[in-house]
Amino acid sequence: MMYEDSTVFDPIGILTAYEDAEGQAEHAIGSLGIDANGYLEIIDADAGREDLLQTLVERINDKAAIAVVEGGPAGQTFGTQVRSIPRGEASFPAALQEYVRTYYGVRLV
Amino acid sequence: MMKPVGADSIVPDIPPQATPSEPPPAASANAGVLDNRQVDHAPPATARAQWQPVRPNVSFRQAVVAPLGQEHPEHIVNRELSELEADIARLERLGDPRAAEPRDLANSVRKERSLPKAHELLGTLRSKLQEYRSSPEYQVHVDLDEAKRWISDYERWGKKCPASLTRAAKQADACVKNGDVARAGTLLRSIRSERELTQQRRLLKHKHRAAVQALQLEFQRIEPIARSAVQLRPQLKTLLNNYHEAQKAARYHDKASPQDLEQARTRLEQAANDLIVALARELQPQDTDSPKIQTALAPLNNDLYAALELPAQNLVDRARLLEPGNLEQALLHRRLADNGTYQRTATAQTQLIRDARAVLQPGGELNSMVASRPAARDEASYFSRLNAERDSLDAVRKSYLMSAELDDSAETDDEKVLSPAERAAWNDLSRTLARLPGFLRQPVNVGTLLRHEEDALRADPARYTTALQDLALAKQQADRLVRLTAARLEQEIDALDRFADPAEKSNAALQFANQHMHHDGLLPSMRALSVSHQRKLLDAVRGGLPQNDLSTQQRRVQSRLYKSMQLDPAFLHEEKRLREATVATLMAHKPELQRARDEWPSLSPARKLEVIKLIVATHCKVAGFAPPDNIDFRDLDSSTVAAVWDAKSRTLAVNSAAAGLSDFEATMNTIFHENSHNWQFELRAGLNEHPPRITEHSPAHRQAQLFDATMDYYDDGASDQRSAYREQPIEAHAMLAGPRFARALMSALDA
Repeated sequence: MMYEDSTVFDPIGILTAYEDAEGQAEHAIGSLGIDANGYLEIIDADAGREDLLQTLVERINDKAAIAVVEGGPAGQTFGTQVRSIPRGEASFPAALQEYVRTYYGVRLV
Repeated sequence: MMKPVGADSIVPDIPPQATPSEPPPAASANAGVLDNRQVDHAPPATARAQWQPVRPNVSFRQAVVAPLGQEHPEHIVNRELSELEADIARLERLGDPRAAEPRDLANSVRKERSLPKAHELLGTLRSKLQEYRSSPEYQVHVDLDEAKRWISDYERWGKKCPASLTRAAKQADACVKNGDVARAGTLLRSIRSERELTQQRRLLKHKHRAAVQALQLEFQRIEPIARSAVQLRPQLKTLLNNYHEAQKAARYHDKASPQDLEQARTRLEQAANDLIVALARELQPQDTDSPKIQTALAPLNNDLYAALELPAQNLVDRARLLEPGNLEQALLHRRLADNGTYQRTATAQTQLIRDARAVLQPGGELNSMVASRPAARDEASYFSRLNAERDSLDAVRKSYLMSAELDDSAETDDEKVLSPAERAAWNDLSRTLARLPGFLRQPVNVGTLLRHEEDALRADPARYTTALQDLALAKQQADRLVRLTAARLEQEIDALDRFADPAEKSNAALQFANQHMHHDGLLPSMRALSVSHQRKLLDAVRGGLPQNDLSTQQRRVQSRLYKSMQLDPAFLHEEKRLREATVATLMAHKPELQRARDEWPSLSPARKLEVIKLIVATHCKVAGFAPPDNIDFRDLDSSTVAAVWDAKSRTLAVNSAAAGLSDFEATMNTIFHENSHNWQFELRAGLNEHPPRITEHSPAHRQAQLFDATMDYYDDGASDQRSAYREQPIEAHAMLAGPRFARALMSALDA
């Protein structure tokens, strides 16, 4: 279940997905459409990487917000904080790109 | 209302249809009509094939063509009637009496209210016209109509139709009226053939002009640079003239054959490429150049590479939006892909790799060099590595350039920080860097590099090999310079021991740091200091004071020193091995972890705690350190803190109320991050035990020393905006380990 409205997926841009395996040069594996609320949809995918992109798209589309792990608040020793950035916030696209790169090794440009 | 992907609302309201095994629904009154249509004038097979049940995930193409298969019988009658009326009108224009009866029949069809009767009349009309349609003059009449329409098109667009064509059409018209069908057919065939030729010519002209315009557009920023460069390098004049002559030769003219035009375009492209390659070569300053010429060449060189970046941006844009380059087309491709008819167009990346292969073809030696570089999976990644090597050289170059001590205005050698050996190494490096071709000295897009280097490499692969050898030499020289400088800095740090008083020593250390660490000056050399010297300098700067008593200046210098520290490669290698082993061990619980991942937001706190404990226990067991004494999963009464490692009580506390921890990936990152702090304390303890558990043979030894040197002077980011919170070794390690563990875990769970 992806969209809150009944309209068709209405992308505002196309992102190229680059896979960034640790210690290897990144390479393009497909393209994703992104709509105004940050929902993603596969436009095309390299053979063998469809599953990765499909999983990625489903997981991201299921999230109402993106969690960003940061260092602890000022004055806190050995602590972390996690900020939730809901869809629609100005910082959401950047958070989404960082999240996908961090946890799925995919850079969206 | 939530809506699943694929249930596109672009699908029109298609009424429910029968399944393939059932006959198409037909009202009893229309049954005969439908039967008649299907037997005598069956719609194309593609239309019949649309009698399919509506599937929930119908594709764009299916949605668009589906209505054709359900064309209403009334529409079919109207469409066929219109086609037949066109024939009637033609006969009427020619004054042919055969038009009278069909016209009456056509009028009757239009007036008929009963669909079966309309079909019946349509059948009669069709048979009446069948005789005319199969006659020899029919095709001539159709061709004449078409020729007239073509001539009127000229007028409509304000163009003058060639007199020969108007004359031929008039003659054909007269022949038709006189019944000379054979002569009319010959004339019309000549008109048709001339029309096709004109269309081909127009298309050729359009394509040629567009191609030439694209080439000139790409070159328009380079031409002024070339004009200026000719003043300094007269040898470029011939190439510039060649380009101008090629430009003139590439102008379209009607008598040129397609081959002539293609040759002209190739010549223009070749002339432009020759000029670019020559500019890249000639704009490099030579030892024989006067200082005035060298000064004049620098801005031109910069302009050239700025100009070459422009097409690189186009390349990026093309990669972002799939060819042919607009959103609608890209979406259409995506939708057609559902139907299996879409072939993926080449992206810039694949084009890049193809181009790169072409580059590598000329030089066998180059191929062997590529093969000798590990993990360069393809040519594009190889060039990326070259760029990375160039970047590291650039860091060294900038580092020394920014060092004010290189300023030649210093009057004596004593005023200059670099020793004679360092200065000689710096001069060697500068000379080698100057020999490198521009693409190895300046940041440049790999695509641009390949496009503009390819021809030059084909002509002279040895030049490229030489450039790579120079690059390797420059790296060696940079390493030597860094080592020499680091050795001298270490001597100066040792000399701080002459101060017995901690305050005096701190002042001297601060002076030393300010001298060598303003901006990013000598950063590579500071990073190359031994751990013991890094630690000695830190201790000297602190002057024996605890963290809370440090002055602002001491804190700032400490932050800069933290920033110059790097995680030890041997430790990183070991950390990666242990991280992967932790994930592999956790896969014994793969089904439970997969369930936890999928249900994490709604999982009970007790169940979440179980998962957290499993992760932490496995990490500790695999890496060989003690687990926390306590793991709390409770409301920490803080809106900001997600998790904390408390070293004193050896407690890992996780905030059950933190909204961000409803995210599985972020939670795994956080847990591993905090447990990495636990590991760091264990490493420090192992270093200081008697006998030490962490010996100098341990891969973690160097990093453990850095943890030990910084752990009691934790930069919590509260005191200064220029703090090194993220760069201090303790956090740098945890912030690397947490995300990488989460990513490895997600990948393993999805495998």
